[in-house]
Amino acid sequence: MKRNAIAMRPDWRARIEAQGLLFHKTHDNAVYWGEGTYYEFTAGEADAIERATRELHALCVDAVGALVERGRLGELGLSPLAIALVERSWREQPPSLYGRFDLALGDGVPKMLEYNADTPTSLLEAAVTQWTWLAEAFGDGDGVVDQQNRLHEALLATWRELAPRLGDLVHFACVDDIEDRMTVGYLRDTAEQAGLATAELAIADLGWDASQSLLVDLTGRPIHSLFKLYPWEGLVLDRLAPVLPRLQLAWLEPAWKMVLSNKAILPLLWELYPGHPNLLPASREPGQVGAAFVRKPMLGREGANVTVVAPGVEVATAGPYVGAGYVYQAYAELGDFAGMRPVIGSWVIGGAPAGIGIRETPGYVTSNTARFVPHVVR
Amino acid sequence: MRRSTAVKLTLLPMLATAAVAAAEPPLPPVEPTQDDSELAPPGLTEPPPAPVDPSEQLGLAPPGMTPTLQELDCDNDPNWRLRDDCFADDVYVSGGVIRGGFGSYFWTGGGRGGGHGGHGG
Repeated sequence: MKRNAIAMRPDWRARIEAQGLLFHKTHDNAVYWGEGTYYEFTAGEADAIERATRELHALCVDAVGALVERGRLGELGLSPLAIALVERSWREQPPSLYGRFDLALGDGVPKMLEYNADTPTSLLEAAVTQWTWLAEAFGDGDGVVDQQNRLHEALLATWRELAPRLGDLVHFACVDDIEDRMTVGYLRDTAEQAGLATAELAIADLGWDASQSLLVDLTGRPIHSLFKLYPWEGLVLDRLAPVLPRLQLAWLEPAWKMVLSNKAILPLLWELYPGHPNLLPASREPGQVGAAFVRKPMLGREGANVTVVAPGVEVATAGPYVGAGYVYQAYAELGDFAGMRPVIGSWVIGGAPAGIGIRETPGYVTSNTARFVPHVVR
Repeated sequence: MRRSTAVKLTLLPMLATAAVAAAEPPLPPVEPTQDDSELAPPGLTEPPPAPVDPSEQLGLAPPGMTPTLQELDCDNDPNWRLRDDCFADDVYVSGGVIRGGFGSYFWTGGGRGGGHGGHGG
């Protein structure tokens, strides 16, 4: 794995904005899309990431089944309502579209940092923006320069496969945030190209029609399939949460994904598959994973409320995710490339590995200011 | 080849253009003239309807969703989800449909991170 410099396309900003990447700066106005550099993988490294992703997804799905079967969902801190929704969802095996592992590759073996199985983003930049960058920066690559990125094709294929279970119209909902709206817009685009009809609305505009026991959109149309870029841990706390068990609709992602997006899954995975080469030791208790560790909130996001303790390192980030409990995970080297530390976002689409995107940061915690950097496989 | 053979967008560029247009600052208001007001269609010069008291709207809530009187504070009431005073959001009822009941969870977007994170969360 290498990190190389490359000239930026003169019109990069207009090019990526035309593709929907309007959020190429972070909330604090730093660069988010960073095409002045790129990471380079060997074919062997790319294959190892793919193998690990396939293996980890299988482990995670099996783990959900084991936890449901053994009645252990309460260990994740889930409420009775959430547990009921997970159990039902697992029993019915509804459609699922996607997820993204965050992997460390610092020692050459992919290690699972976490699984963003419910509401992963950075999809547009991985599937479209870096694909276009490669084509324009390297041409066809003469068959030598490639990219680990079948995301777009995989999305279209998965939508086609799911279509018979989703009905005539798929609704898409998110909060009013430009990144989320463009991410949802991209997913709508792929769904429509796959032949599905779509509609979009804000999460807050979802309507509960008690007379019919169903959700409706702003025009009163029943919602039978709903892609929501909004976490299950939020849905089960919202005011209308009590109606969730009464709904008969296909949620994307399904409720069982909230087991995997909860970082309390990490100690349970380590318990179920101790010593697995793609897992890191993890525990709910301090002092169980070695002297170098990372403490993460169970339901944290964007690197908030994370503490890193390693040789010569002691970092703690602020944030709102306090009170729900923490997990401790053994520290994994991310690698140091000219002072930048990359995390591999490895996508699962339709249950199979489909490509990667990379975020890098000079710090030890990958937060919402980390930069997305394209990659090649050579 | 490891990458998609073609990446084509159809809907997203339109959505992006619309989002950019919506984010642009509005044009400065034009001072109305006497002629303008005379030409305005009926209703536009009338005052807007008074806002409806949300508590009255929730009075229309279906059985089971009606707020109950409670002595407990919101933090200690297991039925806090059913109480108006425990929310600062915009739940309302329109045409027998309750809206605004989802989306109140702290959420700063899927987050580039969406939980990204190295060792980030």
